[in-house]
Amino acid sequence: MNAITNAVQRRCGELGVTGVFVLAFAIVAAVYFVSAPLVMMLASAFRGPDDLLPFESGADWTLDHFTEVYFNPLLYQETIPQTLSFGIGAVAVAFITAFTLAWLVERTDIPGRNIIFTFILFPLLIPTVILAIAWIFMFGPNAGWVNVAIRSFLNMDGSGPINIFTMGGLIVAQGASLTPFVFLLLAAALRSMNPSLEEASVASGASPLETFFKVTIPVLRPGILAPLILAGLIAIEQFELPLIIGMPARINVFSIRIFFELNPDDQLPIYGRAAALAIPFLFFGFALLLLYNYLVKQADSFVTVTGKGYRPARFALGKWKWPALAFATTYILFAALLPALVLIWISFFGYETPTLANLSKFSHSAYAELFQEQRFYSAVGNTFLVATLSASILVIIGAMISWIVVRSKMWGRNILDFFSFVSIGIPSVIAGFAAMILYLSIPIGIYGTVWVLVLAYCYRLAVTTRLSRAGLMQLHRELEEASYASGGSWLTTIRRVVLPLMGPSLMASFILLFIVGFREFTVPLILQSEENMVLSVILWRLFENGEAAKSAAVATLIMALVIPVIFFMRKIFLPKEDMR
Amino acid sequence: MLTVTGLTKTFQTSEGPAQAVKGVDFKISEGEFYTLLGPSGCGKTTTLRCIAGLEKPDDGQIKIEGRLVADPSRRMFIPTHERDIGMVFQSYAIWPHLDVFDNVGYPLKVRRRRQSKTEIEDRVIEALSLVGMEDLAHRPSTKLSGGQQQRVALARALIHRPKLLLLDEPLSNLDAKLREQMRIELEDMVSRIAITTLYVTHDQSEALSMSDRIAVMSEGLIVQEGTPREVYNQPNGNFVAAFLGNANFITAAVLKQSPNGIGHLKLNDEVGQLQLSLPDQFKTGEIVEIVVRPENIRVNQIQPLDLTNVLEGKIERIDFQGGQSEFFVRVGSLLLRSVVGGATDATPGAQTWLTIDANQCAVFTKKNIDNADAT
Amino acid sequence: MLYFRKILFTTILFFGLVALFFNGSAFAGADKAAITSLYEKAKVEGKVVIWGPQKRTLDWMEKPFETEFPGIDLVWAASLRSTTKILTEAKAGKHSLDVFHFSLTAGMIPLNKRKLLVKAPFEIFGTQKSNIWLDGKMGLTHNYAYALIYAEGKVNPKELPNTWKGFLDPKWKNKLLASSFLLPFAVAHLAIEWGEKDAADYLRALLNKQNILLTRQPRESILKSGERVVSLADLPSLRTRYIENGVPSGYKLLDVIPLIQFGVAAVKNAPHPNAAKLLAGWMTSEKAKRIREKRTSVADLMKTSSSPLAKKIHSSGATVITDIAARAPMRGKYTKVMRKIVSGRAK
Repeated sequence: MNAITNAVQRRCGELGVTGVFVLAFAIVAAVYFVSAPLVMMLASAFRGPDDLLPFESGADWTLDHFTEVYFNPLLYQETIPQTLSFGIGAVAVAFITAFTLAWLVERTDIPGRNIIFTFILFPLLIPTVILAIAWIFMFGPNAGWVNVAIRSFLNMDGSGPINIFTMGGLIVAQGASLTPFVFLLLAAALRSMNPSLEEASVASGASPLETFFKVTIPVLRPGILAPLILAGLIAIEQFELPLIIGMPARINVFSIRIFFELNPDDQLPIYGRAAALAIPFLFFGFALLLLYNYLVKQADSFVTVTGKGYRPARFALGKWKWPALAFATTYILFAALLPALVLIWISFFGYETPTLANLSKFSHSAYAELFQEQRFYSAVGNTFLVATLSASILVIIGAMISWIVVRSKMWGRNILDFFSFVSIGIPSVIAGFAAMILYLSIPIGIYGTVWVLVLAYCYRLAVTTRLSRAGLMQLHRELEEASYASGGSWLTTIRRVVLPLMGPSLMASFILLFIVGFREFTVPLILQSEENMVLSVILWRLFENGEAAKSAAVATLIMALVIPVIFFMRKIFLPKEDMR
Repeated sequence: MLTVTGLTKTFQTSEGPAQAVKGVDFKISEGEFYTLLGPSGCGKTTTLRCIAGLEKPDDGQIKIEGRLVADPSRRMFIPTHERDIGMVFQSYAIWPHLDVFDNVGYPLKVRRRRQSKTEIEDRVIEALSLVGMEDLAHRPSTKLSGGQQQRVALARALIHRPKLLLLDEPLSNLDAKLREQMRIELEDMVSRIAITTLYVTHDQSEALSMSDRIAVMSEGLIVQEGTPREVYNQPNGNFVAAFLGNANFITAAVLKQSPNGIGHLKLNDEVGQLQLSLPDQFKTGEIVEIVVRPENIRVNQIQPLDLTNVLEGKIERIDFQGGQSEFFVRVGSLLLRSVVGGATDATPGAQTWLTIDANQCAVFTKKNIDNADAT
Repeated sequence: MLYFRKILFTTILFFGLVALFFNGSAFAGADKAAITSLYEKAKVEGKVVIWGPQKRTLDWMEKPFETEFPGIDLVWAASLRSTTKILTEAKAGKHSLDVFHFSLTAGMIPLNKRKLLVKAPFEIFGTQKSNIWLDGKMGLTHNYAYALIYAEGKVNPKELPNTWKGFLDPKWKNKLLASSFLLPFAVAHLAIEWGEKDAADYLRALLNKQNILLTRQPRESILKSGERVVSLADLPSLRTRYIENGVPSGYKLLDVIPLIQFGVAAVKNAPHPNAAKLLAGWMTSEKAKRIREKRTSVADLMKTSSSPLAKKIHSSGATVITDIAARAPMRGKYTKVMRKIVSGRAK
């Protein structure tokens, strides 16, 4: 082992001028993308008073925001407990659903695996706002379609039985929307397990059930906990569902508090107080991220490279096939298909109830109007451009950072590693605001253009470093060393050996980031101008303007545009079924 | 003890169905060390996994100690954990979340006959001593070297005294020196315990040194079965001959058959004649292949008096390998290899006479040659 | 004869005065010459950029303005964060808009405080002095009134109470909804009339006893499904939009009618200063107001307005609370209190 470490250390010295330049650039870029929003946030929290923006003359350093927020007892009586129960509940729901689905798809012979996999990812395509509205349509206590159906079936009166405007409803909704993301990560973890660990267990006489609890779960544990922590952080940061479903239920979680400060609508946004709210959030996130980091390292050490291409055994479901299919179908139905159908319906029928009588009210005017607007086409172009470019930049930088962290012995690489994770703890509103101030202050005239969006999107470094790191760890050092021995420079090796072999994990990062970039709306909303309009902003504006059919039409088109990407995703995430 | 009949297994790959095992039959008796030997892809590991119960055969029968454990035609399949086996995997499969002690003790904790803590402890120590790892009982398994992992895997496989021990290329992940050392230890231990063992490997020297019997496999079938000596000295075809050790192949035609079983064979190119014992079935004029190992060809620097089974040639090259010297001798169109212990003062370019040891030649017909080539 | 002439003269005078009173601007007269001269200067600039809160506040004016003043390209951009953007850009020395069209308190006052607005010649378009605020810099354009909208066919309009407090009756439990943004704002206005404590109690009762559904999603969808039947503190001008979206609805004015004031101003350092003044002025003209009302159902609701809704409001006998700058600080204070209750920062 020592010989290898020495060799790698020597290599770093032999990076060559280009190599050093490239790496330095990657480091600077990563730090920049993440630290600009962070610094912004930290500074604003201490600037007041309320009616001045943090950078205006007359604004001064103050602790007022902190005292106002943290000396308020309600914060501790309601906000924090509600946020915790919301976060933990949502993650629990997401975990149970995602793990069951991942297990069914990866480790059993459930029929239609490919289709199920594709549909599970569907909710990623639908803007959360629309998901929320669709669920309200279905589960609103008084007039929700499902409730109406249940009531007429059971001859009940009154409202309910399912009331989505409760903490329970909010938790289930958030859990359902987190599931696709958690599913992807869990499926990858399940797939990475060395099958002979389980085989050794049954060969030692343990039944499959015993094997599951004594070997499978313990070995997978770090690989399972890590995505859960990530999911928890995401759950707490998002505000769409708490806004639309939680607020009617009088639930005020942290993200809503921040949202209120930033959208007072009768005065200037109070960035200072929003930042003051967000800061402990950040520290809490850091703590969780430390734990996440530890688990990830443990998971990696549990993974051994099999090299034979065998996949873990698939269990035969037998008569359990039907409940399993029912479970998968129920999830897909409620989380993906029904909302999508609601969306499509609204785009053609407005708010008319879906009955046969109303079919005559069909109108495609929403689409017609959209297609006539020049704005729409440029928005489509902008969205693709921004999503693709930001995803590409992040993937490459993420790969560089992973290489530094995994392969090199560079001083401070763990700090760099941590830095790349930290970006998850930054609420997107803060990132947007930071970008706005930053790019207005810099003399380069990119403010208001599409390019500022590309750069602003790049704060989501965390996703890509995790995935490319996993890919890199499975790559034997010798493959790189063979390239050096054949006379390849560091840059050549990265370009011709490492990146191509990391292909699958790079592709996975790219696709996830592309979808995230496609759906991103808080940041482009803040930075919007006539030239950089993207689809999600158009959707939101139509939505706020009350143009139901048109906003549903845009959402439907967003879905339609990204569906091919999801199908493509399948090819990457589902390797060819080989010897088993 | 272990009976395998007509074992067949096909896999569905992305390029269509692939038959990994095409009808394999063999029997292992109690206490025997039996090896499946062959190149990668020949089906040996799949056969082993079918016996372990990690794969379901498509056809055939497997019986362990008279008990039928697999028979697709009767929908019979006993799962792995109910077959009384011990298995060592190529990657060792040491559980990373358990330390050495818990890894080895695992089979005792999961079997239905529960045992007391002290009994488990005793037996774990016993198993670890068997492999020389008793000092590392509480080391976390993520901190073990390859050789240590292998020993732990072995201890784990043996601790519950199974009827059948299965080993899937256990030495192939070790470096050369360690491999040799482990091989000797393994041989030692296995013979001491006298457990019925099925061993899978692609390394012929392992197979030859450790086994009671070897089955050479190629492309899903057993090509030859026999003791190490048999398969080494009497290969039944080119494949087996070439796979086990080095071999010289000499094509010849049968001149005549003597009544005492000695056949006269004329070598191609008229370079000489050989008199070897030939089984009856060879007819005059038949083209045959003679296989003779380098160690069974003696290099003479002076022409011997008895020229029976002597071929004249010229030394092309000599490789000094420390413990032996290898000669490459040109005889007509043949380049024959001979091995001699120690150093030699012969020089390349010198004329030499090769004495072929008639008793150590294997002969097979062209049909076998063709068949062997085809398989 | 003299008697009849007297009566005729008096009648004409009377009607003339009435006409004067109600259509002051028409008689005060738009100064056509001044408008044309301003137009000539603006035409050279060729473009005018206006920012406002939402699309529907702005998109209606593009064609009418360009028709009336050809050669000037009107570009609009809508964002609820316009104020922040302007301030941030100003700080960076960037100026990209000419005209700002926003609410008094969320847009005009903050910008005026930072001396970012300039005077515009509203009078030449016939705008009354009383409709020009902030020392000549802001012209009034339209108002929103707080009332309620109900789902037609799901509730009997006769059963609707005439007062805000009437909705605290138990029979309205689980039947009400409101925008989470509009409700606290409306109640803050009510506090001007009732006092802070009374209004806060009212809000709490709505939230906790009546279980009013607070939402940010399109309220008409909730009315349509019947999940709730009355949208309290909703804006009558939105009714048209609800109906367009397939939700038959009606509105009802209550005993207190708060008005939110919107206006327009030309911005300092505008890239097209003359076009800015032209557009800002035009937007306050009677003609523009009528076009706006026709296209968007949103109107000037001040007493001087000729809009039918304005007339209805001011003849209803209700207490009308206008949105004047002097009241802004007090209302701002009440709004903070009400929002705290709504957002859970206070009980």
